[in-house]
Amino acid sequence: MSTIDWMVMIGTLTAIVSYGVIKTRSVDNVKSYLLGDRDLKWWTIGLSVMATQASAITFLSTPGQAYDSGLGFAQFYFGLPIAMVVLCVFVLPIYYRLKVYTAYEYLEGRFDLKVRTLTALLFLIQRGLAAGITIYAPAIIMSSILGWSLNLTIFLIGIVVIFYTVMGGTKAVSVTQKQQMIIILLGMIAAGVVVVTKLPAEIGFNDALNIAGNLGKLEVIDFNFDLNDRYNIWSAMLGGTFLFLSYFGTDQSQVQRYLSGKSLTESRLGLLFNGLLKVPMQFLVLFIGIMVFVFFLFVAPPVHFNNANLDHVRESAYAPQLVELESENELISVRTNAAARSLVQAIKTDEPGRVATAKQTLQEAVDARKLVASRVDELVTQEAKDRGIDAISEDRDYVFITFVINYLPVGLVGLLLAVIFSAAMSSTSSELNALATTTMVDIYRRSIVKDRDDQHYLRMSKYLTIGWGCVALLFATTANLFDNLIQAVNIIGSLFYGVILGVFAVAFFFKSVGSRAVLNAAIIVQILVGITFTLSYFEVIDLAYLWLNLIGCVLTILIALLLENSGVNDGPRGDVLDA
Amino acid sequence: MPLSQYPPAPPPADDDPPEEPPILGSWGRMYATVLVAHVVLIICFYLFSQAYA
Repeated sequence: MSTIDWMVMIGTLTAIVSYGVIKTRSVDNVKSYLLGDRDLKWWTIGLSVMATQASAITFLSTPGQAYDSGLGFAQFYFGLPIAMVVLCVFVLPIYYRLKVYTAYEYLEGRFDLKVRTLTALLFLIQRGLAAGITIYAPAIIMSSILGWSLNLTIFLIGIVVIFYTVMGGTKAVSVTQKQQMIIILLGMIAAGVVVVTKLPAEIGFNDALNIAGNLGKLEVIDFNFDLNDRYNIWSAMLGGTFLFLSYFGTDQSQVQRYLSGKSLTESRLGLLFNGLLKVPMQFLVLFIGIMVFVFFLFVAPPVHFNNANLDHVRESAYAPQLVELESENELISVRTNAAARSLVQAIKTDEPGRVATAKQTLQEAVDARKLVASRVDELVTQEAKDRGIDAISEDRDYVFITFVINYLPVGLVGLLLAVIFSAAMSSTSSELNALATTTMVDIYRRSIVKDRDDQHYLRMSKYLTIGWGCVALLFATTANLFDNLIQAVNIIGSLFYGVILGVFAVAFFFKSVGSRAVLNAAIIVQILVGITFTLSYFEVIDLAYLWLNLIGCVLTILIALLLENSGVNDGPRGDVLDA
Repeated sequence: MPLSQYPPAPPPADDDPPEEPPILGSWGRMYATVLVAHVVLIICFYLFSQAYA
């Protein structure tokens, strides 16, 4: 990486962090620290909500997902605008009227302390795990680029995030996220433009689309109903909507963002802004992955995108086989280049027979390349096994960063790395802030130390932020156990979100259900969701993880109603606070 | 003000004035606009996929 890139990256990140620290140096009480000063406008809320969701994983893994499987992943976000509207109608007015610090605080008024504590604990478990993965993702890039140890890189990234989150609390998170999101959007648009300009001179943008379309990479919508298919329109509209309702409505890392709005109107506008912009933004990120795929039809891609894995194989007894496969990959790239150009020419002649032949030739070349890549994956796995470890041969998460480092112009490389770091810092800071707030408000101050002064709670909030930062760092060091980072985060979320959403749905819409019924239902269903996921994981049943959100939510509601109506679960109903 | 002085969940104030959106006149229209825009976007995605299939 050039000096200019280093300057751009460090300069951008330093400017954002300094701005956040300076803007929040006056935060000296716990209310400001946990809720900001409730003075944010809708665009800051909207960008902050987007930045919280869009972690570095989004910008590393998503283009790789498109490179591998096409645009179908865009469907995952189709439930988001619906969820935004539902939240604006039903949930935001309640939170605002009750002036709560956390989403779980509402549940004590509606049910009782046990339900509040249970949901807060479920949030802390799943978000604590996910925070580790959001630090791990950018760490693999820097460790790969600089040759640093992965754990050292995780530690350095974590320290920067912990520093400014501890210094300025919620407000530091929000004001830095606005700058970070602007850098992220500018950087990704620049990357998208550059990848198109890097195509051969005679291949235009429309030609690139034709190539990708003929190889089935541009199919956004899948109408086939298949419970085991992770991304089709049905799982997105049902499972996805429930996931986003739960994530944005009950996950404190998001609730805290819009609770710091100046008014209910500003918060609603912020969420609707997110509902309008999020799907196109994800489409853009996926589309960049498609253009990178087309680019690598004309330029030989690495035989495997994770350099660290390749280095291990090169130093092993499998090195000769790797050299052979790399030669084969070069030859296949000559074929893909020629076949892609032939396809473009065939499409221009508009002769169906010629198009079909050219398409088949290109598809065969691409399949041959995949075969070579899978043989390299086998070498990676075998070499790691010889060393007594389980290697991750999956290299999708390295596709985009490989393109950035090797093919973007000087300066833009630094900007794109700043994008990835910004994304990591923005989502991680939100998570640490929310974890500390929930622990402080729902556990520590509510059940452990109830009557201390403001400075004590402020100091403890800072200690809790540091503590959760350390937990996240610990989990970050074990995140390489997951083969795909973005899916790992979503799977962890799906395990808990359904039940949490079910509890909130009962609270909002089933006023006859009391605390004991909902508490027992939540515990029963959380166990059932765990068993269902385990059966799915070991392939005893076929079920995509998104459905866990729907199953968890619906079962919690049904069992709570059943228990309530059986008459053995009477408990407080929170008549006063029920909205 | 100390955190402990903020009650966990005060009763809702029934006399809160309704807040109107800055454009379109009502929140119902705002929500409808977002949902219609989403449907249009999905249709555009479908047409895009078909055009290059």
